[in-house]
Amino acid sequence: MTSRRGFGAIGVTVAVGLLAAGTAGFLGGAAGTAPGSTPMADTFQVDAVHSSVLYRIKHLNTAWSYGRFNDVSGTFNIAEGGTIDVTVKTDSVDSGNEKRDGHLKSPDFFSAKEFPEMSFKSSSITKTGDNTFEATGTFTLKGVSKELTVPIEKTGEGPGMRGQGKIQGFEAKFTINRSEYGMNFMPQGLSEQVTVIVSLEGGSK
Amino acid sequence: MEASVIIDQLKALPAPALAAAVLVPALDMIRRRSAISADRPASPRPDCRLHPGTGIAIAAAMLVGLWASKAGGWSIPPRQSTDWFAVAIEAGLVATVLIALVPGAKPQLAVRVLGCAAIATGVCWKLARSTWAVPESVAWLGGLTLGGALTWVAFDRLGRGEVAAPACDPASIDTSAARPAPAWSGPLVVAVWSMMLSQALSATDSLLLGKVAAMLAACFGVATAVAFFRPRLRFAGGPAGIAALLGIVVVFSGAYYSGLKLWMAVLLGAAPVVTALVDALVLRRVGGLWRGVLRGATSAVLPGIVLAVAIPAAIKASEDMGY
Repeated sequence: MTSRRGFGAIGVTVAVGLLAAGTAGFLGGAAGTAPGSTPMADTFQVDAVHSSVLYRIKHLNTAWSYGRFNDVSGTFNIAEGGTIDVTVKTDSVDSGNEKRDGHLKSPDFFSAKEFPEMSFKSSSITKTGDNTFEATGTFTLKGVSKELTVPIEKTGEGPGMRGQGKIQGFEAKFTINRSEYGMNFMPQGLSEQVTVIVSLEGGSK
Repeated sequence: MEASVIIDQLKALPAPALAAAVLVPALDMIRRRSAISADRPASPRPDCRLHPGTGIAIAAAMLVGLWASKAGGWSIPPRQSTDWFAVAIEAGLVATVLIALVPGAKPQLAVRVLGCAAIATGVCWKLARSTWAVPESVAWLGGLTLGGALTWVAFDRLGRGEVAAPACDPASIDTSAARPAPAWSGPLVVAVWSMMLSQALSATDSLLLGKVAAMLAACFGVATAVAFFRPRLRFAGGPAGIAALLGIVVVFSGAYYSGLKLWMAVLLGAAPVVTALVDALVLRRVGGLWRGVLRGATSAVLPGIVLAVAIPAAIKASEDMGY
């Protein structure tokens, strides 16, 4: 028998979804405006090079296994009435082990050929504090769409690298139940809950 | 393989095995009683009808197994590839009844081909519409339909056991010099094939697909044991269809969505056909226990080649991952 099971795979999947949602929320945050203000914000495009979508899942109820997704794209506008639309390529899952990544992309976990993307599209964004927001929207993973509310923290903003345009960053951390998205493989080896950490940077379009 | 994964796979087997252990003999008993009570007049023609009892029992046992182990979904229409497990079994159940109602060999063959074409089209539909070019679509659809139908026919012929084939199947080889094969050797071939298919899928990145194939092996393993003690168990017809249709789904999913190499899929798909040919051409003068043993051994040859490559690679991969 064999095996490369995907300890991280499940976690990655969940994480990706969550991250997407969180990312969207973060990215959407009030670009081009001072924290706390809510005028019409710029729309920011995800800068994949300076963004991270991470997941963590517990292996054998012992230790957290972390992984990431390397292909993130989309736009955001974090402000009251703003929007988030972020997509993550499931084929970009990176658990730090090429063999395990192959298992994560199989039908046991992401089924990446069948479901090449996971996404988060916001329906509303509300301000909850000086630099904090909540984004509610539709998170889609493995063909399953569920409404999700993700807390978002605006982590900074400023001029772009060349002094042109604006950049802004956000981070979100949230947890999902992987079985709700059709990932119920290996329940004894991998935790049901997967935490997703999304840290995104975007530039104004 | 990690212990938790082995446990997860093993835990999926008792439910379908237990269901098969209850349903296969029970439905065979009903068949026998109805045949006796029918009190049919003697006919110069052999009874070529294929009875649905064993097929219904195997289908029900597999559905119980899918439900108990949460392997795959139940969406109608299927939403993802793993939803096709249940659909393939349900299609096999329908085909079992249709084949039992259709008297002739050609109409029965038509049911088999149409069943395979329907499942192949289903699993390929989205890809054919959005991803594949026409030649690729034709290759996958044609290959899966042909492979599934040949597998179905091969399992059926091996499952006929002591039932005379030539009069019911004009295409069959003259078996005048042949000795009867034991009834248990038909389900044994399917059990061996699906067990090795399970190992091949598990070794090539999809433990879920491997688990479903293992459930099929468990059901046919139980059917083998039942047939050993009840030699007149009817196996041909429905049970072979369930194995063939589910085989289309898991082999395609393994080859396209997971890590099963195409050459491995071809060898695994060819194994039942090769076994039927070897049985008809070489083993037909062997009877009794040895016939069954040789049938089982023959069915393991091609999958054995696949496992000889896949398992060492999987073990190496597991070591790389620190498992």
